[in-house]
Amino acid sequence: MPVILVSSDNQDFKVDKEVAERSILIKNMLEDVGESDSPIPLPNVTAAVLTKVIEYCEHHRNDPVQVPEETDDPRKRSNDIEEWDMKFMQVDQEMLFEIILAANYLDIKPLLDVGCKTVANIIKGKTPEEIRKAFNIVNDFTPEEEAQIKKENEWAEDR
Amino acid sequence: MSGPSRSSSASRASRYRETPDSPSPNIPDEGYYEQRTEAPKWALRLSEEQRAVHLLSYLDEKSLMNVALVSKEWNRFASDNAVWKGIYVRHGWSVNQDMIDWYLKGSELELASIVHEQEHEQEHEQEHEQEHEDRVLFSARSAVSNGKRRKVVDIDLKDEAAERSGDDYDMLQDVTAPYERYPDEDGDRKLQRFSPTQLDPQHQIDIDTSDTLIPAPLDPIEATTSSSPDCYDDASSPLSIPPSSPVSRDTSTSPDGSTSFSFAGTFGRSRDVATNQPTVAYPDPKAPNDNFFSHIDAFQAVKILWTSEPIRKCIDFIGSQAPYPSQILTPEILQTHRDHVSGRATINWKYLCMQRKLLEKNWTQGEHSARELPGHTEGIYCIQFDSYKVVSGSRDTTIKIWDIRSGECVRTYPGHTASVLCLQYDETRIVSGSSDTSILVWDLETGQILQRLDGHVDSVLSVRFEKDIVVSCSKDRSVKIWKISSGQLLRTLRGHRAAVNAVQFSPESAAPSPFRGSPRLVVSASGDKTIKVWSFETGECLRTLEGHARGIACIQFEGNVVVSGSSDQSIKIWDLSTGACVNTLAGHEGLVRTLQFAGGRIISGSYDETIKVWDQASGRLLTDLGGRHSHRVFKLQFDDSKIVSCSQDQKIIIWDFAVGVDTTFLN
Repeated sequence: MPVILVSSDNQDFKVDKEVAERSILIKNMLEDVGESDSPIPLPNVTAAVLTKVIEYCEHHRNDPVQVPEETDDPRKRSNDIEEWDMKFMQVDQEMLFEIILAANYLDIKPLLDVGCKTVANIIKGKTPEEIRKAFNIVNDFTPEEEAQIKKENEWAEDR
Repeated sequence: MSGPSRSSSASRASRYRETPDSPSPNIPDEGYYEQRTEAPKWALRLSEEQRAVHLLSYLDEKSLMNVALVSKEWNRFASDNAVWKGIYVRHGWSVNQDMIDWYLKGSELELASIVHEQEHEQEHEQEHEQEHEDRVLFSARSAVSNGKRRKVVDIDLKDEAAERSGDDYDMLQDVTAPYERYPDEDGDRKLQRFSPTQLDPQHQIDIDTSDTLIPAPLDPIEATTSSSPDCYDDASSPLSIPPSSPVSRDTSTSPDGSTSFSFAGTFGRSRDVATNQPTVAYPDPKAPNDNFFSHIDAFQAVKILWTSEPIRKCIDFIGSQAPYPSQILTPEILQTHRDHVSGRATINWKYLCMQRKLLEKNWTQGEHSARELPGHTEGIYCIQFDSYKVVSGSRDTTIKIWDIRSGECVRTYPGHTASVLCLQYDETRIVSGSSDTSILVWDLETGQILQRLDGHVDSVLSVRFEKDIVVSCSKDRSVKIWKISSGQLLRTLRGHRAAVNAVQFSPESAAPSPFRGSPRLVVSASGDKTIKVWSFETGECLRTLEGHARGIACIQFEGNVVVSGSSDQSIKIWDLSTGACVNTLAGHEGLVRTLQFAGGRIISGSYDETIKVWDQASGRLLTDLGGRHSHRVFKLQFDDSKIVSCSQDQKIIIWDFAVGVDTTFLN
């Protein structure tokens, strides 16, 4: 039975229940409501983002559900994103962030992970100044503070 | 990567670059902030702490350092303890979990006991009303700020000092000075302060030994050498448990009449407790920490960095004698591993990452300090060590046990009639092989010979054992599998065409091997240039690995990986399931006599008198350690922070790489 999701800008999305239930939030809502065909409003997600999220859930509709222990896998690395996900995440930064936010809100852990890994990959190998540029951050350190932090973190440098 | 935020970023960045010479380019002007309509999006969203932490936990420490330099807010995210814990764990680095458990729970118990005691005293002393309020507040919240906690402790100490009239030592300076906790007659716990002389670090470090190193009824052989010079006489030790204590500390008096003994070292103790359980009476079974500490095996020693000098000591976690963290750890360490908001004990993972990184750096740079254990009168063929002890076997036909901490030889076991060529020990037994062709099974603590395995017709070159099974190999070209309890020879593996120099077999807990029908394997290396893989179950030879140009002296296998060292001066890494040699490490200029691999490192010792540290993945030589052994290196073992090696030069050398590293919570 399909489920109707309503984006914040009032667009309806008809998706399979199985797909919608990749979102733990929606899954729980459906369980609470029981059999009902009333649309589910998602006031935090725009149509553009929801389209992407549904695309992800469609692709991963048959993935095994993550067991809780796995979510804290100590060996998680940012370079183990599968190819489809990597392509899926090739969006502009704004959208990337929207997806992370939506994944967080909708409680889709694998998508949140992929999003975070993607961001981590953007950060990796960049100088602080390059990170600031990439993410539009203003340096609010005084030179003294900056020197202090550098000193504190000196040990992390590979020597 | 498009849209207004991007472009505004670029313009801002260029503006930033246009003013490099302005006096304080990093001080933002407020108008600047006002203009940022799009820009703060990331920052704002990142500020949802949890998500930022989640995101950053995918980074490595170097990237995190760059993140920390981005802005104040990002610096805060990058400092999050959870992020650093993730980084630590993802490195595959291990911690001393017993020590961490002890620290966290011990800190809580310590706080609780202080509160409890104060409430007790409160009934008698009315003049500390303000402090009492503090205590109530404290106990109600079960966590207080550091300042408040210290205050509570101070008060406690003052009370204590007042009780012990005549003592005018200023307690306020020594909140974290060591206190001996002991069960008093009421079964209540108290903190007994040491006399001021005890605050000397030399004395402090002997907390563990003071009541464990007993002038023991020693093995006559070792009577002159086994007592540690830095240990206290039981009676004279101010650290010792009061006579009223029911805790037995001399197992020679054990009521079961056994011929047990007090080991003049730190490692006899678990046995004491284990075998003489009835004598270890915990005065207050309701005391919360008994349950916690009593499960910890005394063999799991703990290394302590006591002062800025890297002197590591062992402490015991046993029952009522378990010290509180403030008795053992320096104020600096206590302060480091404390949540600055709640004041509670917590592990500072960033700090651990830093220490671990320093340790790794020492390994790659060869930065170490070295100690020697002198005593054997001939070349030393084999050693094994743990946190407490080193066990060695020599051409002088004896096995010696050394206190790794003090360097004292605490036991010498004669029994073999020729060189002790190989040995392995577990919690209770030593199994040794000799050029007298015998294999002896010893009681680790008494030196009593429990079993004798005869069957080889030439020198026994390597032995390995687990539980009731011994696997041995010999110059007689055979590999034999034995049952210790019955002394029975279960199987003889024949196939090598020369002496079998090294052997290893899968532990019982190992994952099943890639060979069908043979979940457990025996792997042997021979002077015939081959490595053979055998079925432990059937004795069938499953595979022969060929590639070394000369005889093979040593091997280790773990899962699917075999590493071998040869007379051809190379080390080879093999894939067990395919039999392929995946890498060859060249660099030694003599026979590679001994090696171990663990944690991504291979360490090898050679007839060329050097020890070399290699990166297992790349095969790169990381460190070349020479100049200490003056003859062939026969055997080595390493752990996270040190190598212990022995040589024909009669020396056992402990190479300690924890120089300048706080190993309190490291393995």
